[in-house]
Amino acid sequence: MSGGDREALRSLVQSCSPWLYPVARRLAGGDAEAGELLAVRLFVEVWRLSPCYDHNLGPPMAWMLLLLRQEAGVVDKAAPTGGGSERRSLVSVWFGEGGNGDGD
Amino acid sequence: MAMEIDRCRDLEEHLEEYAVGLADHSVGMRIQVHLAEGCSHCAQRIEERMVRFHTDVLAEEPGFVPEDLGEKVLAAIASCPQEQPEPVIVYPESNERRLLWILLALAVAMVAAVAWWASAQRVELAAAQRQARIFEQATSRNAEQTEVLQSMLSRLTDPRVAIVDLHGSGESFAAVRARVMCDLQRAELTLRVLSLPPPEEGQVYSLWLGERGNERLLGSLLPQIVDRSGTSKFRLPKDLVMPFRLSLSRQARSSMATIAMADEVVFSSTLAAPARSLP
Repeated sequence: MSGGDREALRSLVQSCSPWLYPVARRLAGGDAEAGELLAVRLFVEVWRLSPCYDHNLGPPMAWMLLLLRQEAGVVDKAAPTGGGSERRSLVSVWFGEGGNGDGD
Repeated sequence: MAMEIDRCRDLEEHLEEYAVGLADHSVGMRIQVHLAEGCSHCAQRIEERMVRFHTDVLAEEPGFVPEDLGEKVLAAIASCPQEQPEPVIVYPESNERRLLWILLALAVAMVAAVAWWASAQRVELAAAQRQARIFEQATSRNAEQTEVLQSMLSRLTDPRVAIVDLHGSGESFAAVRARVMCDLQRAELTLRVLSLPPPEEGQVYSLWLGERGNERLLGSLLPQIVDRSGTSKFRLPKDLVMPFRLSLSRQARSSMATIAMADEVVFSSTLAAPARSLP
């Protein structure tokens, strides 16, 4: 895909969107249309930055989730504050204390 | 920009955030560099956290996806060029790093060897300087002795110098042999005495000049000995003319005012001008 292969992007969308789209929709507050728009923006960003990605430097899913958070504009929200028993769950960090979203 | 190389324990608390895409950009960069160095331990930790993440944040089952999502994505990228990757900072791999350590160790060893060699050179230089000083002192001493010998030799062959051999008198000094060299030009008298018995406590050997009753003390003998051969030197009066009488006596240190109080006379003789003619 980093070489401009659009079919590779199509394949990536088909394989990853079943996992990423629900997260995008929850980040968009449960709005299906906004979630879809966010997912499109995510994959455009994946396409744009794919030449810069090195699979040896980290898992691709984490990278795409990071891009998804950036696209959703929640990067600057509270992030985990290191280890310890008081660490909030990832769900609450991503979607708020109550895990608000579409309730999937 | 200077970049420190992280160790596993430096990044341990950030691995979970990185695994789920929540790490800060700078932290993510540090972890990526760390993984690029080949740390399998941290890679395994991240993989384990990823598995847990899928069961935590991501849904357990794949969710519903709009059918046209793929087409919308492909349409959106039509006018979107791809970024070109920036030059990747390549850190030395393990073998190269080991080579760097070896080179560093060699450099340290070389510096140590040079320092040791310099120290050894300083020690050798100090020893050589000591030997040179000893040689210089010996040479100087030999020169002085040569000068003394030359002086004695010149006096022996100088007709202006009166040389008289004397014998001790009496039983106490029968074995005493003395040679007197009298150089009036230099106003100097050299006396060499052999087999002279050592003086008793409180006694000295005194050299007297002139007739008895009109004598002058030239000095004590032993303190004027200048070398181990029993040679003493005395200054003569400037107005002294030959012939004159010379006496050596042994007497108490406290009675050196006159020869009349001498306990014993070692020798007493009149020195006359040499019969040889001047050259």
